[in-house]
This record gives sequence, C-alpha cells and structure tokens, in this order.
Amino acid sequence: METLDFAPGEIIIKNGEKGKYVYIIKSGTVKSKTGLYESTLSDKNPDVFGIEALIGEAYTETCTAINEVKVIRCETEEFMEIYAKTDVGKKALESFMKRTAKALGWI
Amino acid sequence: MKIEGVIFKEGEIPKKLFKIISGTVRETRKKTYHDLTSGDYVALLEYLTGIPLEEDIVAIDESEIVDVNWEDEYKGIVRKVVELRKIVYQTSVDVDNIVLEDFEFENVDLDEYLDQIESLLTLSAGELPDDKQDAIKMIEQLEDDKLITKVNLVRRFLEKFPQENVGARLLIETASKVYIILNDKFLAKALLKKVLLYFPNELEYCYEALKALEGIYRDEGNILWKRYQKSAKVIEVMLRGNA
Repeated sequence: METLDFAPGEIIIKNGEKGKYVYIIKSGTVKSKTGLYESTLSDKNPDVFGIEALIGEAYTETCTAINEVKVIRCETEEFMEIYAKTDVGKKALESFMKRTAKALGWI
Repeated sequence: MKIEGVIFKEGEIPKKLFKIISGTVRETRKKTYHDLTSGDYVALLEYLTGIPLEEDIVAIDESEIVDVNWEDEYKGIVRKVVELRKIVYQTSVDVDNIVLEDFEFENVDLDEYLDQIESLLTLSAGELPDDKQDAIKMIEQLEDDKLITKVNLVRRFLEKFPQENVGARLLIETASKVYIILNDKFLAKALLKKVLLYFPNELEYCYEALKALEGIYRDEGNILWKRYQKSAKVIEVMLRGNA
C-alpha cells in the first residue's frame, strides 16, 4: 500500500486497462467517466475507484485528477483484508453502484 | 426461502440483500423491466444506496432466494456491477463522435432463419413478377394469415429490386405485422435491421426502423433499447438538418 500524488489532468486509471490496484482518495477531486456519464469523486466519503481489479477485470471507467490529488493505492488483497468489510468498503460498493445506475439512466 | 409474487414493495428501501438461487425476479425502473436470475442480487441498487424502490419487485415464477451479507458477497457484488457497466458501453452512442461501430447491430442471419421456417412449414412463396409494380401488388395483396410467405416475398423483392426504396417501406410494414400478429420479436427485429443495412441513406425509413426497434427491445426488457433510442435521436437531428 502506498500514497501517490497526481497533478491536475493526470489520468489515474483508464477504461479497458487491466489493473491490479484499488484507489482510495485521500485528498482532492477526481473525474470519473463511464461511457458518456461523468461524475466527480472526492475525499469526502472517501470515494474509492478501481474495484474492478478485485475480480481481475479491466477498469470500466477512466479516472482523471481534477486538482492536486492524493490517493492510497492498495493491492487487491490489501483492500480485501483491510477495507472491504469496513465502512470504506461499503461506501465503495455504494458509489460504484450509484455511478453505474446513473450511467444506465436508472436514477 | 421459496417465494412467488412481491418481494419488495414500491417505495420500500430494502433492508435485506437477497441472492437468487433459482427462478426469475423482475425489477422495474423507469418503466423498463429487467429479469434477474440465479446468482443475481435482488434490488441491489436500492439496497446499497438506500434509494426507495420505484415499483414492486416481483418473483414472476416460483423462486428461491437467500438472505446474504454484503460483506460475504463483496466480490460477487462487484462482479454484478461490472456486468452492468459492460451494458453501459454496449448501449452507449456518443452523438458527438459517432463511429462506424455504433451502427454495427447484432448479427442476425435472417435468410438462414427464414429457410428454416420454410423447410419446417414447407411453404413456397412462389416467384415474384419481374415487373416492380406487379411484385408490390402481389406482396401487398397477401392476407395476414400468410405473413411468413409475405416476409419471404419481401426478401425476394429486395434481391430482385435492391435499388427500390419501396423495399424499406415493405420491410417496416411487414415487421410491424410480424410483431403484432405473430409476436415474433426475432423476425420483426431482423426485418427492421435490414432497413438499416439495405437503405442506410433513406433517413426517414431508418428513423422509423430505429424507433420500432427501440419499442421492441423496450417491450422485452432488453436494455439495448437505449442504443436504438440514441441512434434514432442522431437520425432525427440529421433529418431536422435536412429539413
């Protein structure tokens, strides 16, 4: 697990790329794009992205730093052990589901 | 537990997460239903987000569901959401950046399908007259109880008179009858897709075909309706531009 910094405009994960990390936003704001749907993720919840890596799937969204962003980058096993069963893990599912539902036009 | 009928009621926020073991559970959002089967989670969106249900969620046949914990099902839930996300990409058409791929609709081998039907029913459509007007008359005079024959004749008309735009109208009219009278969604969709393939420059017919496809997919609860809706919007804008 490590903390990484991203400058505004920098792409953190790319749709279609197979990754092995899950990202938790520590500070800053990230733009997420799923298909044509865009949303903003921030350190408030805190938001998590890249959870597709947990099941060995390619990322399904492109996440770009809007301003100076600090993230915790976890290996999938670390995320499962430390965060999955906590409030961070639950919020990660909730936010992932909500972004998906919005992209599908369900909400 | 085994259940048939309402699992969660409209307006309810699900407090339990159920996983389907067997059977079919129907969820409805934005007037479009989608059926969940074995391995799916019931009302996953509303359970996770706390959003009240838009409509009742119903087991449409006897279904077995089990109460599970999100913690234990973590990866299973991620997998289901990822599956939904794949649908987002399948149904997205970026109207500002259309690429050829956006118009690559599902492959339907209509000819093979019709050959199968013909051999099953030992139907013979007969020969189409060489004169275009006579051919159209022959097709249009066929009664609705000979719809499959009509489909075959329309197919032959397209082979014989590929440049004739009236073929698009015949396809749309026949598709509509096939859908209403025979309720054969597959055949109706295939005929409508032929309009897009054979008459891509006939925007008004393409628009009509896309709207009809949108309606059929919507009726069957297939989220691909969104793709056709968006494509129809694109054509609509093009038509307005031409007006």
